Amino acid sequence: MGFLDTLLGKGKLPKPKPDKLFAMSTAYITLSSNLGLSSLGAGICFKPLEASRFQNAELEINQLLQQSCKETNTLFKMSKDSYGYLWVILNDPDFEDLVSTIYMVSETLADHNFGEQLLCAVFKFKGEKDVFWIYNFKQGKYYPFVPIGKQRDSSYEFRLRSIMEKELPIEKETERWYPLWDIPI
Amino acid sequence: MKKWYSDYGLQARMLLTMFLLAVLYLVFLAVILTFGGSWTYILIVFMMLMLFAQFFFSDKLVLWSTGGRVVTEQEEPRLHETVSRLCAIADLPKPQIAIVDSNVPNAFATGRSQGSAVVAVTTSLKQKLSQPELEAVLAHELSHVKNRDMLVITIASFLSTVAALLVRNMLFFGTGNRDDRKGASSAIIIFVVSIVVWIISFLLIRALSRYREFAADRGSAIITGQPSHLASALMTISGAMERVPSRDLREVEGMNAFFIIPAISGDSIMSLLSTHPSVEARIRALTEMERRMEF
Repeated sequence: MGFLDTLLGKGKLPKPKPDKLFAMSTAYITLSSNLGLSSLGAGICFKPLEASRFQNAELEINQLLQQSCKETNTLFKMSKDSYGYLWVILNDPDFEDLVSTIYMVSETLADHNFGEQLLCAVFKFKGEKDVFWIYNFKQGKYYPFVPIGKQRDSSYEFRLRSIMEKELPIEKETERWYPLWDIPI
Repeated sequence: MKKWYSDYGLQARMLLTMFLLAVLYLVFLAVILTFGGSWTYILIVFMMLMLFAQFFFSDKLVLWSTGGRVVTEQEEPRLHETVSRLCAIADLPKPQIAIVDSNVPNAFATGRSQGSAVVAVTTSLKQKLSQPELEAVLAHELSHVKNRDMLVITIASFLSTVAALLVRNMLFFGTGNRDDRKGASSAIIIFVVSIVVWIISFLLIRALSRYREFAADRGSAIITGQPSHLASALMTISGAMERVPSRDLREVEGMNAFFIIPAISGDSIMSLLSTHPSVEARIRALTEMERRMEF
């Protein structure tokens, strides 16, 4: 936020940076070969706005998903979590389709001027533990999240970081590695 | 397309208030530099140090004086996750979260910078508000952090505090060198100017503080996307305020500038002197935002 924005108390939300999302499609090769992780689906999470324009955007996302998911054989569902955030949950054996569908949802929201409402995209993997890679749209960065019950397996998260550092744009400030409990994927 | 969330009127009023304050302070400084002696400079430097210390330790001071306790993620998982999601959307570093044991439903934010901020809620706020309402209140406090209101108000009130101190000093200890006629007349000029600056700047700072509240309400609506949630939270809080026993009201009165709704109920003070706009005015602004979101 600039000096004038601060002076006038104009709380603008930053625009999303969806470009680095695609880093995950190439990183998936390393994730599966080096760590034995396999995809369990993905999701994108955003904050609904109470306006009829937003419902139109939601409707359009739904229609687009129905079309594109028929072509790529992706399964999708939309749900709301207990914090009032909306999730689009996708499931597809083809990982590339998964990433591009997530991107499509974020772009559709941005086209309707709701890009600021994007919270994150989440990719879920199965290995020796359940692993989530969370993409923060405001930073354009990924970070790992490994929940065990109500605790985080931080040492495994740091291991994931050191292995994937070269291939994924990883959030450097670990204070921004916000947990997301009860991810509906 | 006019953006639903900008309010040029509010920004213009804020800018005008700050401009008037700046002019007032420049005049005040000019008078002090012309008529003041070395003791006025000492006083200014001393006040500067005091205010800087108060600002620098604001997080600890406020927590100490309200009895707030910083809570970990394990203690308050839901509160923490609500705040961290809002921070991720607003791209803010996550503040510390504190809980104040009180049956007055309220919340406040403090801290010298975005990185060292503390957001606190009272136990009663947590009980009385629903999740969306609580989220809206937290977003309001985060907007204060985002807009650096602590810094803005501290800077705005610096010379006002100096003027107040000068007036008090001269009332109690006289003007110093009374034998010297020139010294006596300069002291009287400083005294009168200080009183005028004190009164006007007090009103201007109160106005600025109210505008910052409106801006934070706006910020909350932008972050949550749901102005109506904050409106209903304000209604719940102000409704509950009128029912709490007065002993509690008096206890928390000193902290009013930080609270989301001041603990004195409406009619007792003139709105001109208030740090917060009336709940009705705030709800009106939020409803207007909601209406404009549709277009």
